Amino acid sequence: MKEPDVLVVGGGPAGMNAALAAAESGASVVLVDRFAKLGGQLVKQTHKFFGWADRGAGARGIELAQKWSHAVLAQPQVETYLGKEMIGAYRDGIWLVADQEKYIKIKPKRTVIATGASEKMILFENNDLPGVYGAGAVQTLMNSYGILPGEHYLIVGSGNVGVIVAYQLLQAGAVVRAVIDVLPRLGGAYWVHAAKIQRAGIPILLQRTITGVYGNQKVERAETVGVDDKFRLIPGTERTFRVDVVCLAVGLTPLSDLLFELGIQEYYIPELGGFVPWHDQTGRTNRKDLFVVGDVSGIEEATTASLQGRIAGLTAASDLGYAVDEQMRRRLIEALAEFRCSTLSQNVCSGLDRLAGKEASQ
Amino acid sequence: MTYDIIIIGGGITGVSIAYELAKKKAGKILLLEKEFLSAGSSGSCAAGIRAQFGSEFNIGLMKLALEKFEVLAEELEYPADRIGLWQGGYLVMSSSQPEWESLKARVIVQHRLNVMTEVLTPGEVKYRFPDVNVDGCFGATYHSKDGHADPFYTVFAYGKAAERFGVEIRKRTEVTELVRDDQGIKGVRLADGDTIEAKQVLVATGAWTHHLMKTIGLDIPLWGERHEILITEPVERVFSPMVISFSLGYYIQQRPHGSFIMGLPPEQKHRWFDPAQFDISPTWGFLERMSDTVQRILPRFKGLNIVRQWAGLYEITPDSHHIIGPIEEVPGLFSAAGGSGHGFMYGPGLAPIMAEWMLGQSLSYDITRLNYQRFAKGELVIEPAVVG
Amino acid sequence: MKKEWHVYLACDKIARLLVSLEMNLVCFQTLERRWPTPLRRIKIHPILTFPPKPKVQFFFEGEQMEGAEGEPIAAALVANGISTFRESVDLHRPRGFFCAIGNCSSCLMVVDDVPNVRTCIVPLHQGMRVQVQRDKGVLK
Repeated sequence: MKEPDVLVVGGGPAGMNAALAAAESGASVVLVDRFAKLGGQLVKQTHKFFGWADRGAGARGIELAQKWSHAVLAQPQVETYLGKEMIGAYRDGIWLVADQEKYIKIKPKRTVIATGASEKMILFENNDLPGVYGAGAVQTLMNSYGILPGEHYLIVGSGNVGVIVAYQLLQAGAVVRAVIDVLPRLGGAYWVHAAKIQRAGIPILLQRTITGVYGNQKVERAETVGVDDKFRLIPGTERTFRVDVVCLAVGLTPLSDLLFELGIQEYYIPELGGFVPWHDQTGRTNRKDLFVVGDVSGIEEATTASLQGRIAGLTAASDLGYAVDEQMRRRLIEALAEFRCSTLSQNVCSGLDRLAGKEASQ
Repeated sequence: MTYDIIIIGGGITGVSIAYELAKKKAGKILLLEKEFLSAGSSGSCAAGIRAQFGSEFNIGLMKLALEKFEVLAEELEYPADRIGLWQGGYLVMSSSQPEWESLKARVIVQHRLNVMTEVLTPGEVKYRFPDVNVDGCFGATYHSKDGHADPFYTVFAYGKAAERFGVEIRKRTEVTELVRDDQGIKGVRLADGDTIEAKQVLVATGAWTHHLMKTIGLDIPLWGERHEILITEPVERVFSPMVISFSLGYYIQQRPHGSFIMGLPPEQKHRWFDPAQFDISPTWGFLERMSDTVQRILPRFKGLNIVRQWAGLYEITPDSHHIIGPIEEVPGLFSAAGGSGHGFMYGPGLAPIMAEWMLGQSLSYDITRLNYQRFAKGELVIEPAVVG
Repeated sequence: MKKEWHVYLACDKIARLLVSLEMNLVCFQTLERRWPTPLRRIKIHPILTFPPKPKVQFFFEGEQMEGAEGEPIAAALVANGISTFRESVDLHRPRGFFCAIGNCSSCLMVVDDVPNVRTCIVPLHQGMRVQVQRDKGVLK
C-alpha cells in the first residue's frame, strides 16, 4: 500500500501544477494518469495562450505541456503512475489503480482530482456513423499523431474549441467547409481566432443546426438547416455539406465519476458544463481531504486550470503542516479571480458565482 | 381515502403480492414505495433462482417459484427477453468430504420432490464444464432448471401487471410510521404527514421492516447486512451455470446479457437494525477477494474487465427464513420480508400463497411455519443450503 | 506521377506557407477539387513537426498494413483509411473513432484474439492482429 501525502489524479495542466506545488512544498506526491504521457489535453493545443507572461501566456499548449511534464518527472518527490487507470474511490480513503495483473492501493492524506472533462454529444440522425468525431479526438489525431481523419470537415459549435479546431485543421492542410452554431452569435470563441478562420475563407454560419449525416458505412454528407430565435427549424433553409468528417465541438462536461462514487456534493450548473462538485476558492470539496481542480471542477481553460492546481497543491501541503508561502498562495487566489473576470466569458463567470452561492453539505 | 389493502415496499415481494391480490379481486389496493420499484434489495441482488435446497419445505416452495418463473413473461404479458429467464443450472461445488456427503444427502430429498438434481464427480464436472477448476473439489451437484432472471424487469413486469389489474402504485412516497389502535391496524402515515387508512397493511420493506414495525412497538428480529457483488464487461455466452459454494460462499454466473456477475459474503457481519446504520458503499477488500476467487475457480475468465461493483442489503432473520403472514398482536397487519438472500427467487412462489393468506383462503402450500410467532415458540426453520 | 499531383504539391506548399503566415487563404477552398485521395499523414505543418517513428507492420482483418510504433491502434487504422472499428451489438450499425480518450466504447476491437480492447488508447506494436468486433466479444 502506497501512503503519499498527496494523491493527484490526472496529469493535465491542473494535475501537473497541483503535483508540482505540493512537491515543492515538501509533500510526497503520487500522480496517476491513464495515458502513457503527461500533459493531458495540452498536448494537442498548438495555439498561443492569452493571459500573463508568468502563467504561460504567449506559449503554446504543447510547449507548456513539455515544460511542466519535464518538471514533474524531474521532481524526486513525485512518483508517477502513467498508463494506469484510477478505477475506484472507496469511502475508507483507499484508492485503487489498475495495473496489468494487480491493483495498486493508495492511501493518501490529501487527494486532488484533476480528471478533466469529456465531450458532449448532440442528437441528430445517424450521429453514431463513423466520421462523426468529438473535436478533441480530431485534435488528438492531427496534433499528437499527425493524422488527418478525413479531407472535408464540418464543425458543429463555434465555441473556443470549434474555432480553434477549424484553424488547426487549416494548418494541417484540411478543407473546412463551415463552422455552424445554433446560437445567433459566436460561442465562447476568442474573437481573434474567429477572425483568423474567416479570413482564411471558412464561413461561420450562425443560427444553423445539423439534422443528420448520411453515407454508406461512413459520413459522406451532412444536412443542416437554419433555425429562428426560438430554435425552430426554418423550412427552405436546408443546406447540404459534402464532408467526410463532422467534428462536434458542442461543449464539455466534467469527468466526475470518481467524485460521484464518493458522494461529493454536486450542483447542476449548465454554464460550467453540467454537474459540478461544490468547492471553495482553494478547490476543497465538502470532503475536507479532497480537492477538485481544472475542468472537473467546472469547464474553463488551461490557464485557470494550472492556477487552480497550484492553489490546491499548496493548500493540501499546508494542511499537512508543510511550510507554504502563504503570501504566494493568497496572490494566486487573487490572480485566479482576476484572470477569470478579465478573460472568461460572462457565462462562465456567472456560473462560478452561482456555484459560490451554494452551500456545502457536510 | 380508505383502501382495502396498503402494501409498503416496491421490491419483488411487494409488487408480486400486489399483483396476486389484485388478480383475486381483493378490492382497492395501494402500493407505496419510497424511491422507485426495485430500488432496494431487489435491484441490488444477483437474481439467482434455484430449487437445490436442503429442506423439503424449501425445495417444494422453490419448485413452485421456478414453475412460476417459467410462465412469468406470458402471464404478466411482458417481453420474455426482458424478464430474461436463463435456466443454465446451478453447479453446487463441495470443498470437503463432509460437505460432499451432505450435498449428496440433499439430492436424495430433492429427487423425492421431483427436483432432478445430478450428482457429478470432479471428473464429470471437468468434462461437462471444462472452464471450472476442480482442484480441491470433492464433487458437485447440478440442477439444470435453476438459473437467473433480470431483477429489475421482473419487478417492473409485476408492477405493470398489477397496475393493469387496478393497483395504485405511488413511487417516491415514504411511509414513516404505521398507525394502529386497540382494534388493530388503521393505516400508514407518510413523510408529508398525511395518513392513509386501510383495512389491511402489508409490510414488505426488506431490511427496513424492523424499523417500520418498531413505530407501533413491535420488535421484529430482522436486520440488514451488507453483501457485495461485481459485474464484468459483457462477452458472448461461453458459460451456462451458476457456480456456487455454500462453504466458501462464492457464486459466479454469466448473465443472458453476457456479463459475469459474482459475489462473496462479507468478512465482517454487521447486524444493522436501524436504517441510519445502513451502509451500502462498496469496498476494495471485496474487489480483491472476489478477483482472487474467480481467478481460482474460473481461470479462463481472469482477463475480463470489471465494469462495476456495488453493495446491497441482505435482510436476515435468526433462522435465515422469511417472516411472512399475519402479525397476531395487530389484527390486519401482515409482514412479508426477511428473505435472507433469497427474497428475489422466492418472491413469485410466495406471492400467490401470501395473497391467499391475506384473503383468508386456504393455503395452496403450507407456509404457516414462516409466521412471526415461530420465534416466540422457539420453532426455527432450519435450512442447510445457504450462502453467507 | 500524374501531372495533377505535381500541381497539387506546388499549390499545397504555397498554401501552407500562407497558412503559416496567417494570410488570406481563399486559394485553399478553390484548390480542393484537385486534392488526391487520402493523404492521411500530415507531412508539412507550420507549427508541429512529426519526427518519423519506426514503422511497424500489423494486420487488419488479415490485410497487412503499416503504422507507427507506439501510436494508438485506432490512429494507425485511421491513417490507413479504415473507418469502421466495430458494430453495435443489437442493430449491427458501424461504429468508428469518436472520443480518443478511452471513454466512449466506440472503438472496441478484437486485438490478438482479445475482445473489447480500447484501440484509441492501446499502443500499436509489430505484428498485431486487429479485427472488427461484430459481437460482444468471444473469450478464447
